Amino acid sequence: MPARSDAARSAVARDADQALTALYSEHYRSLVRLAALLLDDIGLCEEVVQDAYIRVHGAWGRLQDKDKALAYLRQTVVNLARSTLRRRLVALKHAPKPMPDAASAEEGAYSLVERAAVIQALRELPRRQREAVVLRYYADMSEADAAAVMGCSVGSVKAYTSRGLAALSTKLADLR
Amino acid sequence: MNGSEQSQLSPQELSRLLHAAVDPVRPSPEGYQRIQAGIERRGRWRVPLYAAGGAVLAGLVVLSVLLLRPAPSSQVVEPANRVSLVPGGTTVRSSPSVGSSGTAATPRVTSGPDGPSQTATLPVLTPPISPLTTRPVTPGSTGTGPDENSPTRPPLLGDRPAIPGDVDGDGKADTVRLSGAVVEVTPSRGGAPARVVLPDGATASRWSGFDLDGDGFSELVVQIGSSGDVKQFAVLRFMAAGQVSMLADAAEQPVITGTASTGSTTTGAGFSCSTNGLRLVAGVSTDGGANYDVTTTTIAATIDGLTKVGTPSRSTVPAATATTSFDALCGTWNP
Repeated sequence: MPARSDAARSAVARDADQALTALYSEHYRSLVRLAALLLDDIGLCEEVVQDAYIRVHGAWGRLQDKDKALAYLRQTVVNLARSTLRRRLVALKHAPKPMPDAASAEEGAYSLVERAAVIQALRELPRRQREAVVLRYYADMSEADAAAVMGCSVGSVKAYTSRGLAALSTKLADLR
Repeated sequence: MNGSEQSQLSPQELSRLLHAAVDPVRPSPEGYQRIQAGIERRGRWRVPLYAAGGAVLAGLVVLSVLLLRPAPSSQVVEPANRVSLVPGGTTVRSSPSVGSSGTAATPRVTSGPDGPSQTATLPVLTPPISPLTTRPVTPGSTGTGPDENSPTRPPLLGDRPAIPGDVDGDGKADTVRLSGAVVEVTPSRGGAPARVVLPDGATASRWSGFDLDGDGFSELVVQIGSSGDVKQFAVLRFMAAGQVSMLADAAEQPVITGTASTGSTTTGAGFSCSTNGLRLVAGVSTDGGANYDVTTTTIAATIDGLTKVGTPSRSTVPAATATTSFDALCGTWNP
């Protein structure tokens, strides 16, 4: 019956709105910072996280376990960061050289981040090592959770984390 | 301190460095409004996108149905070996023997349902075409109307019943040529002539075209032998494009005409053509030829051969009436 299905749809939408508000107030900031560690361009991190929230809201009716909404949100952020990196790599290959004096619009806080030694060292890591290190040591995720988000085995997460940690130690020692 | 001697970064130290590095990142206050705007934008596009997707899907379904539906075709695909597809037609290579003249034979005159049966002996030739098959007659395959048992025929173009000699059913009479034991039909639709080789000893002397089942395809009645006053006939039927076959005498009722006398008994036989089939007449007179005990049997020209229809009727008629029916009354005879 159409009336009943409309009512069911509006109930799902209300539920999604409430959940979104809660997820935003509790996790938006940390997710933006997570994206800042995963992306090369700090200016894109908010855009990626907002897109992830919109997608989770759209898929709320299909989400089987609502308690795992945060995990789903994190995985979406990681996936979007990956595809954004891919797009940026393609764009960089074809983009003209920037003007030498072109200043970022996000000067200030973002420039502080850009100048941090650990950020510079992190960006030199291969993508999977970077993801493993960020998920394990910034998001405090277990190896199993990180493996689920990255879509690989726990053993691979261990290997990526170990190699990433060793590489960061070397790079940070050189930068000091 | 060189690289190999330096201690590896501890996880706790790395975690502290990472948190410290991104601590200056402050999300913009418009973040929530941007998300809400994105959700609304997505909702606005969803309905038209779903509608467009549904329309495209429906279009694809309709297109695939139209493409996959078998198109009605007027083309008839002929099998390579048509002989095996014709159950009732005689195989032209088969050659039943022709009896010598003057021997006895049959038409079998049967009484009505409640009367005693009687067999009249007619001093005629043994029918040159002995029944080639004793298969049971398919019920319902007789009568007028389209013959559903002839799927290999091309579609009918002419009227029902067919005009005399329109063997291939295109509304035009076809060319029939008799040459010894060969009957050759050149279809007016075009294509190669159909040849029928009659059994050994038979000679085609005249023919008449008649639609014996009213299906729009004319049959050919051909005289194939004679002995004195007695003449034998065969019925040829159009089976498929390029194929005309002689029908087997499945009813064991030879198509003959003529009269003969043995002592005080006079017998006579004849037939007439109609769109219900051949009406065979056999009469026996035991009173010196004044009255005849006449039995009438209707024979249909079907794909299974010449098959009996209904129950023969019996009547006693004066000689003047009976003798007129002892002839081949089947339209115009050629040549």
